[in-house]
This record gives sequence, C-alpha cells and structure tokens, in this order.
Amino acid sequence: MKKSLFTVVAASAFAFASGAMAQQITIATDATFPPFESIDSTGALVGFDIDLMEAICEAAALDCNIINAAWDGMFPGLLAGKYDALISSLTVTDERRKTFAFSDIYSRPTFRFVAKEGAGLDISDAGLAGKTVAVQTGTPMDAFVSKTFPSANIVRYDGGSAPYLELTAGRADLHMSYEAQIIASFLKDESGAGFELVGPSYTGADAPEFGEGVAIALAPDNTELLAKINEGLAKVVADGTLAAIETKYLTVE
Amino acid sequence: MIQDYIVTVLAAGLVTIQVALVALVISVVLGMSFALCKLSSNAALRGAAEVYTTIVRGIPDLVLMLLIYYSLPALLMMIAKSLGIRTYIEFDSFVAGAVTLGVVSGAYMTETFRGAILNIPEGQIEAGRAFGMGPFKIWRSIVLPQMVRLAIPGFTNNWLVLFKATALISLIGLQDIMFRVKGAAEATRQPFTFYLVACVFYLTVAALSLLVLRYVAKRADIGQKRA
Repeated sequence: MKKSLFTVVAASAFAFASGAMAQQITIATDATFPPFESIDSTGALVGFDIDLMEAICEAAALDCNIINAAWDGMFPGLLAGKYDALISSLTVTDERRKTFAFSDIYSRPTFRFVAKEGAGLDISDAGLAGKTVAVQTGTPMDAFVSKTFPSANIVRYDGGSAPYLELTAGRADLHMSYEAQIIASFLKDESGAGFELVGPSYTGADAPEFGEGVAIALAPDNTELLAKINEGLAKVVADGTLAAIETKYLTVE
Repeated sequence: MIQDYIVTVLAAGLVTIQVALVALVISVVLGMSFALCKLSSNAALRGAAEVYTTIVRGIPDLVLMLLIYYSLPALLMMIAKSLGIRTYIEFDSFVAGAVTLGVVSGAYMTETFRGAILNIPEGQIEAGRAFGMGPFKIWRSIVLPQMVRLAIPGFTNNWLVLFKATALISLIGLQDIMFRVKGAAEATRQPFTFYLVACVFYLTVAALSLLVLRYVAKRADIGQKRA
C-alpha cells in the first residue's frame, strides 16, 4: 500500500518532469524592473523588454512563451536548459560572455546617479567619502561603484525598489541605476519629488563595468536560436518597431 | 490600481496553499513510513531512517530545494545517459518545491510520530496480541487512534513551519503569494502595503488551520481522562 502510493508520487513527478519537451521557446525575465519589465495589476508581464521580445518572436516566426522567473534562478535555469533565453535588461560584459551567448545589442543605456536636489555632491572618490550609495546587488552599477568609489559607503539591495526607499528615507545619499529606469519609475512619480539626476552620464565607453550594451542571453551552444533571434531583431530594428517601443516606454518629457 | 494588485496577489495564495497541502501529504507518508522504520527490529531499516532524519534536519530547506530543483534533474540525466538513454528531465518548480518541503517536513514528522507511538503503553499491544489480533488490526484499533491524539501538538507545529516555509519556493520561480508580492511591490514601489497583505494572508491561514486542528484534537481526546 505504502509502496504503491510512493510509486504514484514518483510517476506523477516524472510525468510533470518530461512534459516540457514541446518545441516552444521559453524566455525568462525577472519582472521587477519597471519600465523594462514588471507585472501589471492582473499579474501579466509588461514593459519595454516584453514588447520587444514579442516583436522579435513575431518577426522571426518563433512560438515564444515569456515567463516571470526569479533573478537568482534565471541564470542557472538558462544553463540547465529550463529556459531558452533571457531578456531582462541584461548588460553584456566580458565576464558574462564567458558563460553565456548574447544576441546583438539592442539598447545602449546610460547610467546615472540620483540624489536629493541641491545636495551639491562632488562625484569623485574623495567627494563621496562618508556618503552612502545604494545599488542593486550584482548589477553593473554595483561593480562600477565598488571599483570607482571605494571610499564611499556602498549598501547593496536585492530588489530594484529598495534603494529608492532608502533614498527617500534619507538613509542613502545616492543611488545609481539606468537613467531611463530612474526617470520612469522614480522621478516621474510623486515620491521622487525633490530628487534629481546628478553627476555625469556613464556608458560602456566610460567604464568596462557597464558593458557593451543590453542584449538577450542564451546558452552558449544554442547557435540556431541565436541566429533566429538576431534575424528577428534586425527586422524589428529596420522597420522602426524598436524605436516605437522605446518611445512608448522610455520617452522623457 | 492597488486594489487590483491586491486581488492578484491574494489569488496566488491559492498556489501557496496547494503546495503546502501536497507537501503535507508527502511529509505524512514519509513521516509514518520512517517512524515505523525507526521502531522496527530490522537494523538496516532503523539505520536508513536515522540517516534520513539526520541529513534532512541538518540541511537548510533552501539549500535542499536548490539541489533538488537544479541538480537532481542533471544527475538523473547523467545516469540515464550512462545507461544509454537520451532523455530530457526537468522539474517543474511546483513539484521541486512540494517534494523538498515534503521531504524536509517528513523528517520532523518522523520524530513526532515515533514519539507518539512510543508513548502508547506496550501492554496494550501485548493485550491485543493476546486477543489474537493481527498486526494490522492492532495498528488500526489500538495504535492509530491513540497516536493521533499524542501526535497532534507536534503535528501542528510541523504544519505551521511547513506552511510558512512555502515562501521559499518563490526563489525558484513558483508564482506563489510571495513571488507575486515581490512583483507587485517592485511595480508599484509600495512594498509595505504588499508585504502586509502577505502577512495577513499567512496569519489567516495559520489561524484557520489552528482552529481545525483544535477541533481534531478535541475529537481525539474523547474518552480521555483529564489530568
């Protein structure tokens, strides 16, 4: 009796396990980074990357299923074959190229600091000594700030929203992120009143930590899908769809 | 808009409850099996049960969950490959999560059930045997009804721990209440509102299950002399 129950449990686990063999492309995102990827009030995925991925899949005639995965599980999931690709504002760096394959670059973001208006901060290692800089753990911003401003007091958070809460609570003096993300998800909002972008704009040309730009990640041996995605991306760029999506999500007025 | 998010988040609470219940079934089956192993006269069975409870109770749930979710499929595929079978195995996060929580909680259930069975006076079982009852009959009529009564306090603790541990599964991407709360908190940047919603949800389910278990305990207590 006990044995047969165990067999049933084992068999059903196996049935679940082998269910994912269909030729559908699964793409994972970590939907906690508006306006690039987030969930709307019904739980559906929305944002710049989501629209772009759908456009690419349509252009490349791929049957895509974009799912919301947790950030930590996304990368192992890709290497384990659970996901076919990742689109999640991923900057391409030399370090990441060692482990993953990337599509062509589809966006070259700029990175900025945000701080209280009129704080008069001097953006240099000496100027930031004793100041608290909040960043999201494991991001290019984290790597850049850690290397460039070692005298600053750097605090790292798991989520994308926690640094803003620290900023508004006065526990952090600065936060660094994608300029478009700072504007769309903070400065445009009423909680961002009294804050402004400070310091220079950084890109990959200024610091290697910011990488070459943003692209879709794949497992290194998945060259066939990579070619299809690049083909779809080229079409989306050529026909102006990418520009339209940029306007929709990232326009600053 | 916040209200819509709250409805979506609470709907994901159903997933949390489903995982917890599946894990509970697994843990009760494992707990009962290994409790019997621990009480068996067979040294190999006792040893196996000892290994299970020692290892599982000594590893954090999260570590075990990541191992089962990411590494076990890879291991199974490797074994299959060495046997000449080319196959692709992957665990759904629901299955990996429920199995992990079931296996972890099963180790605690083992100790709870073992303790309960040990507390049943040996003389009653000997009396049953003297009346010519078979082992199954003794189990059904003497051991089980008393065991339930004795195991309920420990069982309640294990269940509450198990239920709250489901929040860990959001880390392997299961769209449970915690996963949705995080998404909603990031999208609206109102973490306190949403974590409070999750808090109320867990508290409500825990309170309801306490009521149910209290009722069961009362039923199991019928005929018992109060000390």
